[in-house]
Amino acid sequence: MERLPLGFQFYILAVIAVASGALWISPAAISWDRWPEMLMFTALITMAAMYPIPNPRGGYFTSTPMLFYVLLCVHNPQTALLVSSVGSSLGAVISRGWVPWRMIFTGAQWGLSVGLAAVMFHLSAGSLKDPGVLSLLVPLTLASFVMQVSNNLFVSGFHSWFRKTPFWGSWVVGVKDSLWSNFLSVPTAALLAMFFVSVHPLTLLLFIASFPAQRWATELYVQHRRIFGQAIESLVVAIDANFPQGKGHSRRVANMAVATARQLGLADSVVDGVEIGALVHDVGMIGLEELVESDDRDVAARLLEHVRIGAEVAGEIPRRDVVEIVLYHHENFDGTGYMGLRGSQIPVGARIVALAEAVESMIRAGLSSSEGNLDNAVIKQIRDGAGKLFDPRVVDALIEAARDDPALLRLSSDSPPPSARR
Amino acid sequence: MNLLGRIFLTVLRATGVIAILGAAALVLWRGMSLLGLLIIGLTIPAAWLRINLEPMGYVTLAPMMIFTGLLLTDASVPLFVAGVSPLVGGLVSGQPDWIRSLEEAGGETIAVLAGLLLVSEVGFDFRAPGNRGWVAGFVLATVGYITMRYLLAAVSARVSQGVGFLTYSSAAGKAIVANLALLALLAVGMSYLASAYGMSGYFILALATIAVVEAYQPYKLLSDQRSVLFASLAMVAHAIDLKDAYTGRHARDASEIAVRIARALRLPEPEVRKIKLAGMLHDIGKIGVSGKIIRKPSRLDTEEMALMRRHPVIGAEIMRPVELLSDASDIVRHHHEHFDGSGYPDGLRGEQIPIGSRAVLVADALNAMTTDRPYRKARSKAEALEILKKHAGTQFDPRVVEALEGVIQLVP
Repeated sequence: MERLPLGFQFYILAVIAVASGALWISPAAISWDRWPEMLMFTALITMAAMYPIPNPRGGYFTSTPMLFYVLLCVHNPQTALLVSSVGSSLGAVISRGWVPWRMIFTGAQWGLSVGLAAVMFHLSAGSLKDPGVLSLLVPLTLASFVMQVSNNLFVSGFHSWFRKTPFWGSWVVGVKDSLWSNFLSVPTAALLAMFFVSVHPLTLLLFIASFPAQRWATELYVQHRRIFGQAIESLVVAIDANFPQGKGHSRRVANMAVATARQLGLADSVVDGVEIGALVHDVGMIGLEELVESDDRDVAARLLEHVRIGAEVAGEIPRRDVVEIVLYHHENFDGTGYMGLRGSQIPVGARIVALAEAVESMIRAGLSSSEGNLDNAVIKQIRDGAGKLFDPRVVDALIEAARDDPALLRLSSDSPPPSARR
Repeated sequence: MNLLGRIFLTVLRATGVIAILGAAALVLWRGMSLLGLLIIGLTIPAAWLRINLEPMGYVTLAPMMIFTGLLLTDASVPLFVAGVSPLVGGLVSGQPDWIRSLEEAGGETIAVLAGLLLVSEVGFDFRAPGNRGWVAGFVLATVGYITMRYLLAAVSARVSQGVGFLTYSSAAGKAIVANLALLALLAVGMSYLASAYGMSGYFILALATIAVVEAYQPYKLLSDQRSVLFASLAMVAHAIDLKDAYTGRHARDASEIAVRIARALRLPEPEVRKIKLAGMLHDIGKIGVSGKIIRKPSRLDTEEMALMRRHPVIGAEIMRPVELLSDASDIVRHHHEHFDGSGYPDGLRGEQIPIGSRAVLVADALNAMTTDRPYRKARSKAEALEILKKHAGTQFDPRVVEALEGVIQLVP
C-alpha cells in the first residue's frame, strides 16, 4: 500500500475517532432489542452501497440516502449511526475492494452524517405519530440537508488531499450538485417510513424491487458513456489528422484545461464539459488544412468562420457548455477577440481553453529554441497576458496546477487523461 | 403527407384546443374539490417525467393521475388532467413544443372520453369502491382508454413517420400498453391509500406519486442517454463531412431519408435501426482520406481514385469493433455497390447487396443532389427523383427508388 501523507492520516483517524466516540459515550441508547430490524437495515444498506447509480450531471450516487432517511425516522440517532456505518463499510468493501482504512473511514463518515441528520430530525420535532407536512416532511427534508452538508464536508476533505481541490469550493459545489436528487428521494423515504411503523417493518423490502432496475440502468449508462467517449476520441483523431499542429494537440490542451478547472474548484459536471470542449475545440478546422498553409488574404476571415462551423458541429450534442467553448475559445479577456466578448461575458470554460491552447502553442514553439527554462518563459508570458488576453484568475490557477504537476507543461505529456477514472 | 393524415392531425389539434379550453371552463364554472386540486397539482411532477420511445410515441406518468382521478373524483378531474398535462410537461421540461402538446392533449382527451363512454354504456359505477361491478367498471374504463391511446399513437406514427401498424405494435406500442396497464394498477393502489387514511391519505397520495416518479427516473435517464449517444455520432459524422465542401446537416438528413425508405419497404425495426446508424456514419471512412483529394475539383488520377474508393472499407473497419455499431458496418462497407455490379469495393450486384446499403446509396444520392454544392445549385426533389429513376436498375435498386417515390413528401 502506498504511503499516505501524515496530515491525511490524522484526518482519517480524527473522523474515525469522533464516530467511535459518539458510540462510546452512549452505548445504552442503542436499541439492541430491535436487532432484527437493525440487521435488515444493515443488509439493505450494504446492498444499496454496492450499486452506484450514475448521476447524469457527472459522478455517481447510491440509493443509500433513501434508506438512511427511513432509518433515522424509525430509530434513535445512536442506533442510526451504528447501523449506517456498518452497512456502508460492508458495501464499500464489496464494491471497491478490501482497503481497511478506507472501509473504516467510509463507515465512520456516513455514520456521523446519518447520526447528525437523526439529531436534526428529532430536534425539529419529526415524528411518525401523526405524519403530515410539518411533522414529517419538513423535519426529514432538514435532516436530508444536514446529512448532505456533513457527508460532503468529509468527502471534500478527503478529495482536497487527492485532487488538490480547494476545500471550501468543492464542499459548496458538492452540496449544490446532489441537493436536488436527495430532496427527490425524501417523499419516497417518508412513505417507506410510514409503512414501516404503521404496516410492518418488512414492507421496507419493497425497496429491493428497485435493485434490478438500478443495476440495469447502471450497466447501460456505463456502456453508453463508453461509446460517447469513443465518439469523442475518434473525433479527436479526425481533428488531429487534419490539423497542422498535429497529433496530441487536443489531448494536451484538454489535460491542461482540466487541471486548471479543477484548480479553480469547478464542479465535476463543469470540468466534464471543459474536457469535452477542449478536446473538440478545433473541430471546425477540419477541411481548412491547405488554407492554413497558404497565405491567402482572407485567411483571417476563414479562421473566424472555423469557430462558427465548429460550434455548429459541436451543437449536434445537447450541451451548451461545450458549444460555448468551441465558439468562444478565441475571445480575449479585454474584448479584442474574434467576437469581442470581454471579461465575465466569456464563459469560464472558454477562458480556460483559450489559455490552455495558448500555453500549448508556446510550449510547442519554444521547444526548438530554448530547452532550458521553458517553464519560466511560459509563465512569464502568460503573466504578461493576464488581464489583456487571459483571465488573471485562470492564469493563476494554471500556474498553480503546473506547479503541482510539472508534466502538464511537457510536450510528452502522454499521461492518461484526468478523466480516465470514469 | 396525404390528405387523410392531415385531417387526422387537424382533428387531434382541434380536440386539443377544445380540451384545454374545456378544462379551464370546468374549473371556472364548477370549482374543484381539494382532492381534485391535489391530483391536478401532482400532475406537474407526473408529466415532467417523459420518456420518448422509438420510433415514435412517449410515456409519461400523467395517466396515473388520470386513473386516480377516475377512481376518486368525478369525470372533470381526469378530463382536466388529460387536456393540460402535455402543456405542463412541455413547460416543466423547458422545451415546450406547442403543436405537439395540442396533438397529445387531443389524444389523451379522446382516450379518456372513450373509457368513460365504454363504462357508461355498460352502466357500472366504479367510483364507489366496494359497489358491485366496481372492478369490472374500472377495468372497462382502463381498457377503453388504453385501446384508444394505442390506436391514436399507431395512427400518428403511420401518418407522420410511415411506420406500419404491425411494426409499431412490436416496438413502441408494446411499451405504451404495458406502461399504461402498470400505471392503472398503481392508481388503484394509490386510490386505496388515499381513501383509507382520510386527510393523511392525501398526504400519502402525494408521497406515493413522487415515489413513482423517482422509481421511473432510471428509465428517463436511459432514454436521455440514448439521444445523447445518437447526437454524439451525428457530431462525428458532421465533422467528417467538413472535409468535403461544407454540407451542413448532410449526415443527419441522409440518415433520415434512408430510414423513411426502410419504413416504406416495411423492413423490420432492428434493420431500420441499423440503417439509421449506417445512414449517419456512411462517410466516416473519409477520415482516412486527405481532404485535398476529397475536394479536388478536377478528375482524380488512378492512385487518388483507389484511395477514395477505400473509404467504405475503412468506415466498416472503424465501426466493426464498436459494440453498438458493428451490426451496421456491413451496410457502410457496401454503400457504394451498384445494382448492376459496377460499384465498389466488392462489385456485388442485385440482391447480394445488403438492402440497407441500397437504401443508403439512394438516400445519399438524393441528399447530395438536393443541397447546394460549390459547383452547382441544389436541384428540386422532383428533378432529383427523375435522375434516380433514370439510373434505377443500373446504379440504384428499382424497388428502393420506388419506395422513395412513395414517401418523397416526407423526406427532408
